[in-house]
Amino acid sequence: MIRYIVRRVLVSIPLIWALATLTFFIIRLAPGDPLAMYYSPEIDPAVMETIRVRLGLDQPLHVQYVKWIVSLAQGELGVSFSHHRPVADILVEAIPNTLVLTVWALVLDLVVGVLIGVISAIRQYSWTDNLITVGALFVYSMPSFWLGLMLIILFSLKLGWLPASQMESVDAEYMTAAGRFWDRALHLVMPVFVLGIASAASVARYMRGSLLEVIRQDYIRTARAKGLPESMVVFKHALLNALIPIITLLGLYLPFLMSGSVITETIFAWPGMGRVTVGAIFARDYPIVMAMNLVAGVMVVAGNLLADVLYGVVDPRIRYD
Amino acid sequence: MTRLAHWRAVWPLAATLALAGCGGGPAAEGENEAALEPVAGGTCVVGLFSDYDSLNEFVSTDANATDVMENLLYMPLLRWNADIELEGRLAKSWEFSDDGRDVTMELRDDIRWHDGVPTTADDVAFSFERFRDPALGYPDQGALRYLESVEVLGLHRVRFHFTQPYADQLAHLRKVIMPKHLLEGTPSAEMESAPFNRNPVGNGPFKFVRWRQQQEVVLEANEDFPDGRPRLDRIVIRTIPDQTAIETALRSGQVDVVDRLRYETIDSFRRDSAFQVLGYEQRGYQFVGWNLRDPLFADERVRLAMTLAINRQRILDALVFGEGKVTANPVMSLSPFYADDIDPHPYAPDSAKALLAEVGWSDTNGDGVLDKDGKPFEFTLVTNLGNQLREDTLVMIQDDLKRVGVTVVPEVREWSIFLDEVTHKRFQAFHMAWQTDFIVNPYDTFHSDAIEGKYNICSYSNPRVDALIDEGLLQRTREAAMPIWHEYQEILHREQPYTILFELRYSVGASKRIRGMEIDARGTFVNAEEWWIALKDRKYAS
Repeated sequence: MIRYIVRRVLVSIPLIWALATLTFFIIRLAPGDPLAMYYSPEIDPAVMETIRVRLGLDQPLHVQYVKWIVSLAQGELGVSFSHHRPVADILVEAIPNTLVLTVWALVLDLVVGVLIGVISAIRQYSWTDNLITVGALFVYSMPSFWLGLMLIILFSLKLGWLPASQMESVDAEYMTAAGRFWDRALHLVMPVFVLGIASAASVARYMRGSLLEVIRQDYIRTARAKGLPESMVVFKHALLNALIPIITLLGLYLPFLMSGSVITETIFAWPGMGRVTVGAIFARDYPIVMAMNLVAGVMVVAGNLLADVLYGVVDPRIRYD
Repeated sequence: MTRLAHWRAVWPLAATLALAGCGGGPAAEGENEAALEPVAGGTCVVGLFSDYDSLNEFVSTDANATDVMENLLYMPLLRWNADIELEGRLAKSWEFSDDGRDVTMELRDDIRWHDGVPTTADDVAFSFERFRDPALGYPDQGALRYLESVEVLGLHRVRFHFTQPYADQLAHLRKVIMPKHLLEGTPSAEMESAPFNRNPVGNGPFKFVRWRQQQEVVLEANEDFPDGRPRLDRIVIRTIPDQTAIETALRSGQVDVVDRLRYETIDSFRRDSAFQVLGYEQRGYQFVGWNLRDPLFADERVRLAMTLAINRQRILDALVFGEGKVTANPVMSLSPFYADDIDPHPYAPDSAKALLAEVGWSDTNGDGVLDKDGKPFEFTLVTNLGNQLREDTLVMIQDDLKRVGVTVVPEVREWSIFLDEVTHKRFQAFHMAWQTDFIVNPYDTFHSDAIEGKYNICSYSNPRVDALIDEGLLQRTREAAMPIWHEYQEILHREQPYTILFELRYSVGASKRIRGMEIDARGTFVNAEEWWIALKDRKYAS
């Protein structure tokens, strides 16, 4: 198993390098100038030149590429063109905010998804199942920006129960520790719901299908024949085995954990990576775009590896060498 | 259980759809408000659409950041007053030498940086030295090209040496001064990533407390401000990058002030007694620029015909509910130099058709489109993506021109690409807006020397206009400059390199709990020191 992991990690290094190189050249293929923000008759053209030189954009492409790869190898992610600060600082600030959102969304995702999937499977083809299926599809089809705005209008504007945006209240610093904790929790409710509920629907479908398959197995019939209570049959024996495909989903979900969701973050003014990345793309902020792609690439590789390893841990029938 | 839980999930959403149609927030209490006197204290929350890039004048290119720096955090040397005249802020008085090349300035001696160090002439000299340093890449560097040196004559006395006298000498000194003792150790090339940018120390009526990137900037009253502390205790500026979300936050009371309400919601805020709507003119104008090198638009009669054929008032009424006005000149209407006596060209489609006929355009084949030498009058009008108003304007122009037999192909391009195309003159006509200042300087946009530059996009060239621009920029008094800029505007009005569409009016929406607000084109925070909140309206702990 260890050998397997090491081999996978070694293979992923050239993969990440290829990804980085591809990103570097593709983003520069996009027409448009990172210095577009300096466009104004009141700005001296000499100023644009100075900045262009400072950002290294006057060098030929291959020189810029080599410089970038070398600094990357030393752990330097560069300086953002539009934020005027080191990319690493921006990531360090934005990623934890995104993580808070996405981890909780993941929890909601799994808990609700698994629960609904299980209920749907147990009561297959019943009214419950059909209603849940339609309901899941309904929620899944809702555009997240619309759902987000509707929730804000209902819970913030009309009912005043939940705050409309941001991570905490204006006077949060004057609250007690408990008060502040509660304040943050309230702020999390709607964005987490919007982010998590759509994937919960798809997790539910996978769960349902997987559980239906497992329940037909002989060992489940044996467990019932042995006289075990139905709840133990389902929740202990069947469920755990049915969770295996969900583990794969978990691994594939990993990259999303850090890159966040632009739409939810924009509607709820959540200062996360999704917004930063999209803003950077429009501003042709190459250092941020490349850093984010790298992070996403590493997460995809790590996610896949994690899923495969967990798969092997959870299912003793699977052996790697 | 599941069925019930599910129904509960759907019901509120259906109800929301119904509720979404209703507008308005809570009505204000009918109390006797007239008796309230301004008091100190309270926190005002301002909504911001997009976070500032930095709070360091050396580095920032963001107009919103400038608003905060000029009016809240720092003291500029001079600033515009409500009548668009320069008044001293850090500067107490000034005097021109006889030949006009030197300006000697007395500074206030009672201003301190928020870390206690006094603000002196050294800070002024330092700031201007850096502004002029090519390595810094200060965006407004061009404005200081006639500034030769800044001499420190005393602790609070400074002399600016210019290579020649010219009209906007003082206006170009209207800069925010930065602290020498905190920034002299940072080389110009590294100023962009200086920690000071996110942790500024100012000398103005408000002190910097903290800045959480993409989230909020918190400023608090400077208790030791020599003109008296501002009335508010704190101003919190929160970033909410979605227009609907920011207005919802205003309605639900989570923010108190929002700049630039959407045009469709302005009326509902006006009708809601819990809110105040304050309007101000755009500092700039919206226009269509014609490519004078394109054979279609080389003749000025064609361009004039286009202007006559576009119903600008109708566009204003339809797209922005009339919030704005049709203007005639490429100058901001509040500017003292705006030629009030030049009326915008009327909407006159018949005159337009007559003019086009004069140039040889007529509908020979009866298909509704003018043609000449077998070619139809068709052109592409391009604008940038991301601004719904501009895209809609394109469609309305298309409709207007169709009525006179001209076919317009509207195209929308992403901003960077759009810039690329227009600055390299790969276009026929484009729709855009310029941001301008109150002073006039059309050198880059209309002088023939600037044709190969990025801003004389139309490739406009008129020797008389060149001479006027050169002369106008040298005049030392407003009175001397007025007739020159007037003639400049007359010629442009006749030759129409741009079809000036209109000047928009923006609206700030604010909760009525913030009193004493006065907003105009100079900025949102121009009188923020005087904003106050009555005791009964206080909301936040402090």
